[in-house]
Amino acid sequence: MAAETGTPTTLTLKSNDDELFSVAESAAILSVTIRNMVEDGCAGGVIPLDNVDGKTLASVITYMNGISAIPADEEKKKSYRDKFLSDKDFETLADMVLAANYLNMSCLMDAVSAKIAQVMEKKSVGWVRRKFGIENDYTPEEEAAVKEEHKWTFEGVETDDDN
Amino acid sequence: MAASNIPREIIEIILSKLPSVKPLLRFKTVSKSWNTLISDLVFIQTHLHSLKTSPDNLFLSRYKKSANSGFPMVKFEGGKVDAGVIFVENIPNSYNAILCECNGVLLLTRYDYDEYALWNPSTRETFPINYHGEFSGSYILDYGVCYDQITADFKVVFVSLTEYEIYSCNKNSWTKKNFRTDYYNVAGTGSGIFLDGATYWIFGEGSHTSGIQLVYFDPRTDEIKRLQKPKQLSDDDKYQLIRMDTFRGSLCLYCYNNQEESVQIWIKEKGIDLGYTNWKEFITVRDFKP
Repeated sequence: MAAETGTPTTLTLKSNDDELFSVAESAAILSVTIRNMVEDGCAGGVIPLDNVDGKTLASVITYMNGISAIPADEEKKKSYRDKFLSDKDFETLADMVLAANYLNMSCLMDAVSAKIAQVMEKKSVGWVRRKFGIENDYTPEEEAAVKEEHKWTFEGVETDDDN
Repeated sequence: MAASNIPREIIEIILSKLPSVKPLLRFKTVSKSWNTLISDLVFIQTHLHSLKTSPDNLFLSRYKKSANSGFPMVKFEGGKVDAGVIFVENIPNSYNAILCECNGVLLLTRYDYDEYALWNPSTRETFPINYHGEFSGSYILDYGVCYDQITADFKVVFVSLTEYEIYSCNKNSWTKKNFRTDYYNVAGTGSGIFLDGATYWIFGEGSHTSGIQLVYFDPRTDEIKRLQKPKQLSDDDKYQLIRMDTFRGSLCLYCYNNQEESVQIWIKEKGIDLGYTNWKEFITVRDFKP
């Protein structure tokens, strides 16, 4: 048994666009979804992750390796997460929040959703509708009424740059 | 490509992490379903909880009572010694003092006129309290605000020497109750601390020598009850309760041991009193000479 001889076990993960990735089991089990598969003995061959594309999975694996290399020091882990997410655009963050949710990785889920919230804070209503793909189902009169009620919250909103 | 596939439950998690209330109110305009989600009471509680547990702590500074310059919040960041003062919204017209706070809602007064209001600076909403001098002729010792999670009601409590009066915002009415004993104020007006579903005070008991008491308002029964002190502090000659405060989401009690000249901080187990109260000694600072 690999675990008994001290050789690190490696898992192979497959994205939904058929890319294969090797990752140390110790890092991969940050995902509760993967950990359950390993514990159920389903991780012998290739682990298919049907809801994650190759680009996002590569990024998640970078995070898994990075965070598991840090010893139990919450400050350092937090600063690694901040740095890891600092250069990601909205679309990447959206893909990552879905992946983190599917893979059941609470630390990544918390960090990415907080980062998205931080990006949204000063954005316009139009920007949010476009980025989240939300249809405006108000009539113009209804929309004006809701807006009027909270008029002051529209002060200091950034001009849309769609980044 | 628009990220149109983020499901509602994940949107809810993201919105609950917005660092203030302002963008949430703005995003009610996004769509009807976002408006419903953001207006939902459970969501509001989740968001409030997430703000309360964020690492940046904001303190309301009580001691600058100027209505014109806005009320000051002090931002304390771990590791930094100097606290930055932020002037937030101006207190609504005609009010001139902040009495106490509960879940980010402030009890305001206009001292000279006996007028009171609840004010939420995050939403800029003011809720005037219909007060007609229910305590006429009786001096008000202290105030407190309590949020009743079960009925989603803010309750305002005015305490006088021998009785207390509870105002329910939902019912827009007052209820008067009597104490079994006389109390006097110890920690200063507006000392009511809301935590974990109840509001706490330190009062002195006037009628006999039993000294300082901890009391709390329980919104489930609308009664002010006595809270057990740590057993070790029952000797009133030796121990002096100095103040009550919150620490990491728990009630804590500062007391001075005048024989050993030390200050002890005690922390109460979470939750409203269930007939017993567990206190744990947290820290003792020795050689403390006032």
